[in-house]
Amino acid sequence: MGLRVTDLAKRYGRTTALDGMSLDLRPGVVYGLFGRNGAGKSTLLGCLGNRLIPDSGSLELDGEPLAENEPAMERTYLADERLPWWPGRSLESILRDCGRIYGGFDREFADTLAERFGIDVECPYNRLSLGRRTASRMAIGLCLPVDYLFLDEPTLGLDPVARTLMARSVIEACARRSRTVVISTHDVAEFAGVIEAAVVIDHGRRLDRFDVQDLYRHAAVLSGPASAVDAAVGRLGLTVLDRECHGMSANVMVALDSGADVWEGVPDGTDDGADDGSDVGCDDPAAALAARVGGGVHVRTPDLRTYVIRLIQERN
Amino acid sequence: MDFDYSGAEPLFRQVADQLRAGIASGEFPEGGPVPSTTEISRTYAINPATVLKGMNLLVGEGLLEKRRGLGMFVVPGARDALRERERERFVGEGIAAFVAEARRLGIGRDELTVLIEGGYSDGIEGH
Repeated sequence: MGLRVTDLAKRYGRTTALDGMSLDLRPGVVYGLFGRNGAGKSTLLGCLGNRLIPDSGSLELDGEPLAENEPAMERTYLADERLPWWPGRSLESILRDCGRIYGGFDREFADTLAERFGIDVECPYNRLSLGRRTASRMAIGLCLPVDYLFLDEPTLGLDPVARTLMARSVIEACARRSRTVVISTHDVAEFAGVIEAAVVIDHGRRLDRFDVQDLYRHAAVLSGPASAVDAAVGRLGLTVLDRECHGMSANVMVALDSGADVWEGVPDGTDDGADDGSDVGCDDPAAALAARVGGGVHVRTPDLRTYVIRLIQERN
Repeated sequence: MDFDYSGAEPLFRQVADQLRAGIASGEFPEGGPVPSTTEISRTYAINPATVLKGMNLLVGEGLLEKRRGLGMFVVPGARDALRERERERFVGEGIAAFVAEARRLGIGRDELTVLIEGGYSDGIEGH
């Protein structure tokens, strides 16, 4: 079960937007899709939402190809910067259309969202402000009875209050009807509580994916005198994800679940006591690591935003 | 409840901490229900899977129990168990850190004893 993306590629002339992208999306999970401008986020969502045709690779929904598969395509929807209706229409007339076309359209929630974002439903769409146009397009997506919803930049032009409301609205929509949501956004912190799993992409390829609540055992930042930090990283065989150096001191971000021998001799903090190899077998890896890095080196868990930024910065 | 959404502390641990604090303070009485996963999720815009993960930590600690169809309830004796755990932590790590900090600041054994006694007579006792 799920949506499987395998080896997807897409080029625009001489620009490679997707370069062998593979990804599994599970039912009922909210994903965050992060990456820099031009990383391929919108192209990926365009392919998933049937707006773009990939050059190669495959998309399968519950084991069936998605391409030219009408029943499967109806289970997905992409809400992006384009309104798939004539823009002179009011939200009210579009919502009425949606109610007619889709049996399970959640009109009640649509009205809640319109009020929440201060949208005058009788006003023509193209006379609304940038933020309210975004909110309108996202509201339509959040009320459609699809199993896979893709939101491309759902906070574009939204004020700080509306950004928070958008994050809350995604949670509410999923409570009203279980679905997979993929949110492509630069507002990492705003959605940190909403998303369950994160996918980080760069140059059309997947850089990383992880459960957000497991970030504390996925990566750590070591800081201190550069010589001591580098020595600890080398001695423990840690995989370096990013290294920053300011004069004599260094900040090094490392992967924790890459098979390094950091956990040797560390008691298993999980209650089942079994070492199934699927995790690092330790409930507080930062503390366990801190005990092994040596004097002068400080270990901490990065927050989601810091982690994502450091992962995608200056990799050209 | 109050959450730090952008911090490094995982939200599921924050959920667990806040529920523990609520049980310890008596906000969630023993034998009574705690707010449902859906309620916490909607009120604080936290993914329900994350909230559940936090609640399951407390189930594992024997502080909450799941009653089928009714939700999560505070186990009788949970408040005392939490208090006992806090006392153990204070006697163990708390005192050691306290003494280490006093040492670092150049406060000796006798001076520290006098300060502690002063703290008690200033009315800290009984709180």
